[in-house]
Amino acid sequence: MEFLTWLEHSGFAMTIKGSTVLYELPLVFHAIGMAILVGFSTAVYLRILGVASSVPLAPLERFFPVMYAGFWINAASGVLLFSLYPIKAVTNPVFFIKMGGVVLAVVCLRRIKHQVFGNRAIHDTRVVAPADKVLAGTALFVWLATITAGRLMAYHGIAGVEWSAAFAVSVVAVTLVLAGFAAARILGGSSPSPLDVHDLPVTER
Amino acid sequence: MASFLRYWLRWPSLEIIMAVPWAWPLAETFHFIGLCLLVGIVGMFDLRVLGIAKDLPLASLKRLLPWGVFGFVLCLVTGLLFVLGIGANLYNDNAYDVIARDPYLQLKLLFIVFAGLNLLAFYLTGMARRVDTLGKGDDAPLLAKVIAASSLFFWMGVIVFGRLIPEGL
Repeated sequence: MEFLTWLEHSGFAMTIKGSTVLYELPLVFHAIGMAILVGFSTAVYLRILGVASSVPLAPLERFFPVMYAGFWINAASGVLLFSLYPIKAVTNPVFFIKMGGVVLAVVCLRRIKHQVFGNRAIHDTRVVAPADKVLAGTALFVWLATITAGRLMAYHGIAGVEWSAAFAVSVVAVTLVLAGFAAARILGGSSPSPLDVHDLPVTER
Repeated sequence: MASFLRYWLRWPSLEIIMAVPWAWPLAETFHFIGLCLLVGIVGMFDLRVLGIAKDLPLASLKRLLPWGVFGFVLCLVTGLLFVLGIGANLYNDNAYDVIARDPYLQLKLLFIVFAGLNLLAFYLTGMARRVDTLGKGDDAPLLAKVIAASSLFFWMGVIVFGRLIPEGL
């Protein structure tokens, strides 16, 4: 705590906080990194869950370095933002929910990389196992929770806002995802149910 | 003109919705979720046109795009909630005054228009159809790459200026 107090008042932190440009820079990068990491991984997860199932899985592996770039942009800008208001962060339970979410999300991403893309068989048959879909669905949910927590960090101390908003977001988000799959099914039938055991190889379509 | 716009931009009385204590953070959260969907999926399409992951046939990758459009709709709806209606925005201002005053909001809206025109150009130049025929390993025409790079540039600009909006309020 002593160290964090020192950090919060260090010349480094005070200089950045005193300058609009220097303070907005990490915030801007944090939003861009989020869009890249969450956005690209979400596209891959949706594909694993059966959206746009004509997209071959194997080439999507080329986007993992892009996601990692997004991660490192956010790790760097996140550490910088933490160093500006460390006390505010560590006294906010939502901050730890967000950090836990980030750790879980990265674990999910690495496991999917290994489990889905490490399997050479997908190059030929593009089989998606039920376990892969569970993992992708979990990863999507973790991103929703992490983004919610990240946004709610700004509302720390405003009574009742955090938990009710988090609950509302979870409910609406799950509804949105389910509605998305239902709509896709009704509209085109291009995406099989997320519970389908296997995606058909392209030759059988 | 100004009073006309003030009246009409005030018309959607959203203050009742946005007066709920968690409405603002909730709308912000969905704005971020929409942003990730939009920029992630459109960005993936753009990068494929530019030559990353060339083994992806673009006609199939196109089928992910409705989720990007869904992200845009999420951002549009929540974005309107932020701006419209007296009391709906943070400083109890009329939407007309907020738009007239905030240079970052103006730049963001301008970049959204640019991104839209860029998309229009993608279809009008026939690049959308050309790109549709690109199979595994095929390279996109130069014009399609220019449009894809512009798309990335404009959407990144939208994020940057969007993040800066509170500075200009």
